This record gives sequence, C-alpha cells and structure tokens, in this order.
Amino acid sequence: MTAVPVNQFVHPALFYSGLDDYLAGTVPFIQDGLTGGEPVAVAVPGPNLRVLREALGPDAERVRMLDMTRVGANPGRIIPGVLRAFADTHPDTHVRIIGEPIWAGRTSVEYPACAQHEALINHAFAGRNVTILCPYDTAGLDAQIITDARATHPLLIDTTGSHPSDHYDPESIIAGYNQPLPPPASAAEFPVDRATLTELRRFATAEARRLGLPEDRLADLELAVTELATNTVEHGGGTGLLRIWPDDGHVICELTDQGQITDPLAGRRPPDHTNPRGRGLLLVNYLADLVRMHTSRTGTSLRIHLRLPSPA
Amino acid sequence: MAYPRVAEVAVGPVRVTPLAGDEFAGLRVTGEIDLVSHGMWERALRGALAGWTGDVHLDLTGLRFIDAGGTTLLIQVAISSAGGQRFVLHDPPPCLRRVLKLLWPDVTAVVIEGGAP
Repeated sequence: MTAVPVNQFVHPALFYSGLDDYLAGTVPFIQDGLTGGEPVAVAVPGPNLRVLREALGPDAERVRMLDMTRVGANPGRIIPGVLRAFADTHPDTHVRIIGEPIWAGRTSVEYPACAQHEALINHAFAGRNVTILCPYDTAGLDAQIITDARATHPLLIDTTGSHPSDHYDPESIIAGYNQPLPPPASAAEFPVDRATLTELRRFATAEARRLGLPEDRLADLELAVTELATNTVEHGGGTGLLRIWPDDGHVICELTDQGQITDPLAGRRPPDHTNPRGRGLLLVNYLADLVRMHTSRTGTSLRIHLRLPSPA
Repeated sequence: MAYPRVAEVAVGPVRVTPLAGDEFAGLRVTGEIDLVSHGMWERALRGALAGWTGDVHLDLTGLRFIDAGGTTLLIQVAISSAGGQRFVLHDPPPCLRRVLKLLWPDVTAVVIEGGAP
C-alpha cells in the first residue's frame, strides 16, 4: 500500500473480496497509524469488527472500535456522530478512520441515504488532515453500489494498488439520489401550522402509539416531529403536512412543505458551543433509525423511520 | 420542595412562575415549551439570571415537553451568563435529558439535580 500523504484529506474506497483482501487492506493502515502515534478509529459492521479485533491482537486496545450497524444505522448521523465526533477531538494531528457504512444487508430504502452520505464526506472533511478509508465488499454488494463508490471516492484501492478514480463525481450522487419518495397507500394526516404545534405532537404520538411504538421511542418521535414541524414553520414556508404510516417494521413520519433545503450538510454538523443554535435536523438524525429526504424548488419531503419492536 | 410564589406568567400552554427565597431563586415551569413560547422562555431565563447572583433553580416537575430549541435556549442563556451562574434542573422531562445528552453532553452551565441520568 502506498504511503498516505498527511496534511490533506484523503478518502479512498477499498474494494475487497474475501477476508484476506479485507485484512490486507485494513490492518497495515491501522498499524501504520498506531506506529506513527496517530489516533485511529474503526467503524465497521459487527462481524468485520470482530475479525479486526482478532487480527490486531493487543493493538486493538489502542483503536477506537465501533459497530457501524449500531452507530451508523441512520447514515445521516455518521458524519457528525461518528466521523467528526472522533476527528474533532484530535484537531492537531493526522487522524485515521476506517468507515464501512454500506454492507450487504442495507435495504433499498436505506441505500440512497448511504450513497449521499459517502458523497457528503468529501464536503464535510475538505481541507482536513484526516484519512477516511471505506471498505466495499465487491463479492457481496451489487455492481451499482461499486459504481457509485467510484463516484464518491477520489481514490480507489484494490489488490493492484491505489489509483485516482476516473469517475469521481460526488455531486452527481447527491443529486441523483435526491429522489421523489414513493407515496404510501394510505396514511394518517395532520396539517402543520404554527398555531397547532401542540395538537400536532398529540396526534403524532397517539398515532405512533397506536401503531405499536414503545414509550421511550414515542418520546424520541415527539421530539423529532416537533423539530421537523418547527423547521417547516420557520424555514419551509410556514405550513405543511404530516403523514404517519407503518411500513416494513417501521413507523414512518413524513413532513412535506414548500421550502427547499439547499445546504448539503444540513443536519450533519456537530453542535457548536460558541453558537448553540439551529441543530434541529442534527437531532432528528440522531433520534431516527433512518432519515430520507427529497428536496427541490417546489418543496421538501423529510421522512423519519423508527423501528417497531419485532413481534414476540 | 416548597417555594413562596411571587408572580405568575401564563402564556399559552406554558406557565412560568418566578420563585424567590433566601437561599435560592428560580422558576417553576409547567406546561409545554415549543416555538410559540421560545421568546417568553428566553426572557424568563434571562430575567431569573439577572435577578440573582448565584445558581438559578428550575422546578420542571410540571414541564411536560420542551423541544430542542427550548433546551438549546436554556444552554445558550446559561453559557452567556457573565457571572458563571448555572441552571440547576429539578425533575426535567425525558425529552430535555435526551437533548442534553445527545447535543450538549459536556456543558457544565446546566446541571441536573442529583447528577446525570
């Protein structure tokens, strides 16, 4: 593997097939960092985390290890809550992170958010002294996912070495996966309006409770729906529509309004203690199991998914 | 806890009652805080800080809900206190604890009586 240049942002995709490729592409990266005294974090799916822990032996103690299926289930929270949460605590040194946000079990509803997340890493870390290595399982993932990885990563690494990507075009991914969301067959509805925010909360909580969402998640839903409704009132034209329905083991809440979200990193910036305002969308990213969005000049739809408990 | 009541401010579903005593000052808050009551909430918090030199206590037993903006205002006002005054929260609702934990875990200007959840 070629030496990693420092003092610039490096974002390679690691294409691997099988365990040997995976370890060959990740373990030296980790060990080079440890040898150089650099902070190293690994956020990958549980099974891969176990494999790495075993391969690293006692060195694993010196690596921040996170299960990406838990900390990054909602791709929207990965940049603020995983990547920046680690990198920002080490601002004066080169930081190494392995982030694997896409695995074979990701659904077709989750995937667009995953691809946009990968594209947005380039925005979020521009100019930072950080290397974020993203493994992609070429044996287990669809060809389209690998093609998209060539668009979201300026550098590609495989068994033949590392090469710049000829297809690097993160904007095409951000725009391309900004898709209209398929409407539900039916849904409970309530208007969003400054004068009826309390009633909206009651409605949303009652409906989600009826659908089987447990009490602790109902509190999260109430917070998240309130943030989305507040954004609609303050930035989205003042009025909108809430819809709630169940699908595929989740409660889905959708807020539609006439505003447009033009900030690509909306909801992905960690809180700023010097300016503690405007973190509603960040909170939504932390509370929900998945956030999907479609935004255009004619309006915005934001959907939050909260997982229902499995039937006993 | 028993506090002498001084005056009541009622705006919409939120009621904020200033408290005063020899050893402490603060507010008793009942109802729900969201966008519509943010302005009143911020004024009440700033007013409580201005009228006292030590930590300000907030009795939140009757606060049913507070949105992220409301909790953020609490943080913002606390951080801006020139005298280093803190807000001491009594019996905050789960949504407030959640937002503190997720967005402001290291802020020391707001403390929950009895320690972190």
